[in-house]
Amino acid sequence: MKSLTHRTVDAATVEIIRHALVAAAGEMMINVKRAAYSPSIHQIQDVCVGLHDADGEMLSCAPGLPMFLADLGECVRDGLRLHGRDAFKPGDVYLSNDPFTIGTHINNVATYMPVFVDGALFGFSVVRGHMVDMGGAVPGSRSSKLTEIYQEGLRLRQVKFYDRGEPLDDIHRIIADNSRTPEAVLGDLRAQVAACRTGERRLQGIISKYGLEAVREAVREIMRQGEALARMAVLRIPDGVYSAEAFIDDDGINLGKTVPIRVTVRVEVDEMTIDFSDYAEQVQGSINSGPSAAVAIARMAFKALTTPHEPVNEGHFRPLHVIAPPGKVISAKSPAACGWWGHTTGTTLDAIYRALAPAIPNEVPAAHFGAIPMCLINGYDRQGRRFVYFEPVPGGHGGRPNEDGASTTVGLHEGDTPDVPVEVQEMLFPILVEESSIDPDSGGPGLYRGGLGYRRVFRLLSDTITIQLDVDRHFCEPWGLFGGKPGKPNRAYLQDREGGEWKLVLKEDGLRVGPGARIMLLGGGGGGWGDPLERDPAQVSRDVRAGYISLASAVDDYGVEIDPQTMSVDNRATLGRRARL
Amino acid sequence: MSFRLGVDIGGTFTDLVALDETTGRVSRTKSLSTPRHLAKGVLSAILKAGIPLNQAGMFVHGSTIAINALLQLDGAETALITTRGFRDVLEMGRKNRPDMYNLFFKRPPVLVPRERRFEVAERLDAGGAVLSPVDPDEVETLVAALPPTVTALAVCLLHSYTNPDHERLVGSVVRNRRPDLYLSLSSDISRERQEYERTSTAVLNAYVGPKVSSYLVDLRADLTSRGLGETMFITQSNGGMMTIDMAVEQPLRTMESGPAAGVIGTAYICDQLGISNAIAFDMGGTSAKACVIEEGLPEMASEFYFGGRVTGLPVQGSFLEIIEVGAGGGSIAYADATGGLRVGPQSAGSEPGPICYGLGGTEPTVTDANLLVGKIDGKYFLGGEMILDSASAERALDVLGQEFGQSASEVANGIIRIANSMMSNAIRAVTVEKGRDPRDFTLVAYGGAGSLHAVAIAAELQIPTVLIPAGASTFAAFGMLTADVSHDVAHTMLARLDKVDGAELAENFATLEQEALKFLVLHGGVGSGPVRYIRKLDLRYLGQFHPLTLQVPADEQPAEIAGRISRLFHSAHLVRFGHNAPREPVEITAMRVTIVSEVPKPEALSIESPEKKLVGSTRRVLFESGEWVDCAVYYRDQLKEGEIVLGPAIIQETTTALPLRAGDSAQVLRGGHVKIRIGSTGDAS
Repeated sequence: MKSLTHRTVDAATVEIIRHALVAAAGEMMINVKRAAYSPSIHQIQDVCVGLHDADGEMLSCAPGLPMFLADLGECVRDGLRLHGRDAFKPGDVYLSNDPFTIGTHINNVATYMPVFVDGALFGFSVVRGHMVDMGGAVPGSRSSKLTEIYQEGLRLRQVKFYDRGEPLDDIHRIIADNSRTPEAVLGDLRAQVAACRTGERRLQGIISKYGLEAVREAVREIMRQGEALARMAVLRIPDGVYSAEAFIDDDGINLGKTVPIRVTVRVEVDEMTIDFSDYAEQVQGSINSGPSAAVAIARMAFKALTTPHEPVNEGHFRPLHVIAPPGKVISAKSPAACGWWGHTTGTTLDAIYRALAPAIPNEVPAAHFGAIPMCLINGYDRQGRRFVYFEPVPGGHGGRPNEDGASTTVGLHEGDTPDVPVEVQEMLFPILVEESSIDPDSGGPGLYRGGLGYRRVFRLLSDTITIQLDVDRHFCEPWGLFGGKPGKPNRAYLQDREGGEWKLVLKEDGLRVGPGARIMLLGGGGGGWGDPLERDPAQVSRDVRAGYISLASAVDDYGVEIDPQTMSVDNRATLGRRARL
Repeated sequence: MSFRLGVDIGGTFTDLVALDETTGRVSRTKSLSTPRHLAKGVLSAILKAGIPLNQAGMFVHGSTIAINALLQLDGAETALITTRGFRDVLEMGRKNRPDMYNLFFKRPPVLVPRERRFEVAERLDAGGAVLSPVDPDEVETLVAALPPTVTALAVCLLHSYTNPDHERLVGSVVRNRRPDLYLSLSSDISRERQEYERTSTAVLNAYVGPKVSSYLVDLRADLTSRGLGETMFITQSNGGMMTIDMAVEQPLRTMESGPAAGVIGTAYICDQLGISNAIAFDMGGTSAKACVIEEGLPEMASEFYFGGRVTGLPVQGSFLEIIEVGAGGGSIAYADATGGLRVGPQSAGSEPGPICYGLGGTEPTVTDANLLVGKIDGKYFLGGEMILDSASAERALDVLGQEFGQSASEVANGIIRIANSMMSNAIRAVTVEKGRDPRDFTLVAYGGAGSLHAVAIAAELQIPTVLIPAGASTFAAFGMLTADVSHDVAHTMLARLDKVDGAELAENFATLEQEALKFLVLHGGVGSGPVRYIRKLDLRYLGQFHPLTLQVPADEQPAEIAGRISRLFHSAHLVRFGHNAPREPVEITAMRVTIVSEVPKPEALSIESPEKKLVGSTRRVLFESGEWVDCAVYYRDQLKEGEIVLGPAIIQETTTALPLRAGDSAQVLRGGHVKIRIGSTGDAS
């Protein structure tokens, strides 16, 4: 594709401005992460930064979590609609966390500021991070047992936070008075505002160097290039209408009643439509989210299929259309509860890839564990301060068309999300971890095995702690593709006392467990890819030697007979076994 | 005893720099590396330089042997012992997915497979108290069952950073039973928390241990038998050097020592010239590297990964914060499918190399672009030993230019501007983004391509001064001759600064200093020079996660120390992040001590060689601004100390060149370094 030659901005300048915009967003991200107080931001990376133009179009974005691809622009557009362009003055900072306009849940608070160049509004600098506690009925502001947004904390839609550079005391006080962890929330917001200002300075610097018109033109060209790249990628996918189905186990209130996820993907030449019309209606429990969640999930699926290695800009998403009628779980209306909105994302992504598997069998993996087996621990830390802690439990990823799935890695909807080391957890919180390991036999058998899941056993050393367990994708197993078998699903077990029975617990809040009790969290394995009976017996034997699979699984799932003494494969017995299976 | 030798083994060349201690004269030799037998390469470099080993008082060595063992996954068959319940820590890592849109993301390599990872039933709590003791019999049985092919063993037990007793007990059982094993206890190498990073550190050390230690011990024996008199050192990744005995124990610290040596050399030259803030900038064939030196001290990394963060392996310890960007002389420029002009990260490297080398390269590179715009002289490359193929480079750039409606030279200039901007962004990341003003720094550029781009990058970042050191292409080997012996120790802790007793803090620092001194004395690291200490604390606001590491004064009264440190922290936080909270409590998360055993250094002089006199000429150069300018050509080795060159001009070196724009001026300093004052700023890209 040849670019236009009559441009006033040459190709090198376009490329230089592209690098500069990416670097600016990267700098905002590093700043907010390193100065933040909460593990949700500095460790779990539940934070997103972006530079946007005056209409909210994304110029450059650094998502901490991969699905954060839609809501920042929505936040800016909502502010423009509500306040009008003229309301914004240099140095102003606005807050917004309303799920029904900007998506996700109350905990995600966006701060943004206008960027002026020569007295005219050029764009916006936005940072959105997950606050540990925004008040409401439960510590952490979210529970599977809540049914209305009003129980989930302080809802702030487009509220002014700083006026021309000066902090506004009233709103600071309101937030401090409504949060269980005011120091952490205000500390995190301070880090967000500082990062917004960094973005403002960098954007102004780029414009003052290259000129407003040159930057505008370069941005148009950058978007065009991004769009062209995505269109070329869609062209590779055969035209057609592809559908798939999965489900959320339940909404946390109506236990046992599944919430169906139906997705339809239409590919026409170089455009893709992801249609959520048949997705479940919004539910009583708290797995709902505002409409930008549907867009964010669709964008994430699309990006992984089209431009996985490119820094993000709005151009990449122009060939994508998203249909999400109001009132669905992922496009909910007020007053739906939204605390655990993240539950749906991994499974919805899995479903989109499942739909496309027949069209592009060599480009998608089997299903992964799909949802974090969530265990929120709240109580008082070793310094007597209140804490709310949860860990992004990992699991196995689906087998791939050319290799085994990755083991014990965070979900598709999470990204550069490191765990908190056990040595740090035990120093900060009254907790003793007895095991943190790979869960053998959890990966779905296949020609390419699903990745192995995770196993964690721990005790709580204080009696002031309550825990909330929320485990989904227990009944909706991580499915295999093309003959691969499902992986083990997510599970959580509770053992009341030493030597007692392990009891399966999936969704429960306000649990009190004594120091003698143990909790076991199991992140599921990935689904297998292809027929396990075609797996190389030598590879099966290596898996047994490493303890990834048991001898029994080698025989039952793979039809491979291994001598337990020498660990060598009995080829003749294997042929016979495989013929019988 | 009058020579000091620095030998740097690189992928292609082994560089030797010899410093005559009586005259201060420096000589440089390049010879081909011998990857299969590295020691042979060292010997032939010494022979080629013609320096009798019995006149060498000091030999400093930088070697790629450890990093190569890791990159080629060719280390020892290693086993690992961990706490019960934690044998998979090494394989699971931190469970993150940095390459987050890639459905086919890769995990870092696992150096010890699961069947060689063993658990023992012992447990400490976070305070170091014993919850269940080590059972020596269990360890005994386990070690007895290890296959004889295993040659290295790492031990990392939970919370050993705070109490190493259990690891030491396990270690003594192992030594008794299998004295042949190369043994690494995590607590001997790192006293910092985070079990994955510490396990990875111990495993890496064990993995490269047998190879590195036998190489170094053999080389030392060989060189001493040939008359090498005194001490042999090896450079390390923290910017210092260590004795062979230190390196045998902690071989992982020899990794990445090549890039570190250039930074050491930069710090040394800056110290001589009275420059306190500098950016060491090394641009070679495949990448460019930068490290900030502030108040004479190179910046240390807060975390470090061998092989990069996405799929690399983490290691705890002191590493220079050297950032790398995929823009070097060999970086390939191309029009991507959407019509954008891109540079790198693919590189033509040295083989096939840029088109103009005529070695089979077909894709235009940054070097080809530099040739086309006149910055490189195709007839004077390697002092005229190699004639560059300008015509082929021009043809390829012409084809590329047509994609954008540009001439070959226009697109060449675009490529250079893009490369400049990538390097400027990287340097901005270690200066502006960390609250540093580039105007307070000198850009010190070396490596094959450093001087070609340094002036433009400095102008872009408003850096007022550039320094091109003498002998820029063998600069790492020179840097080795300027290092001191050093060693780092750290101790994880957790305490509120306002509750800290100043006297106790001073005492703890003194204990750490004793520990560091003991290690150095034990391994022959203390010589005739003075020993000094650098004290540092990791600090953060109570509730924050990431600490800032600050150097703290040693001379303060105990009663005043907490207040002084707290003020230092608040102002550092403001500088680094643009905000602070002076009323919030501050917390200490670690204490760090670096011991430096100084090695006396004679002044180094580069004596110009007054051989063949070349006649001055002019050549047309296309600068970033888009103008062709007639430049006077000067030859570096004919410029005398004190001489001033005014731009527009080109100062020609054997393998590279230094272009000066109108307004820039260069002056030759004592020692042969060239200092450039930047005329106008801001138009490099």
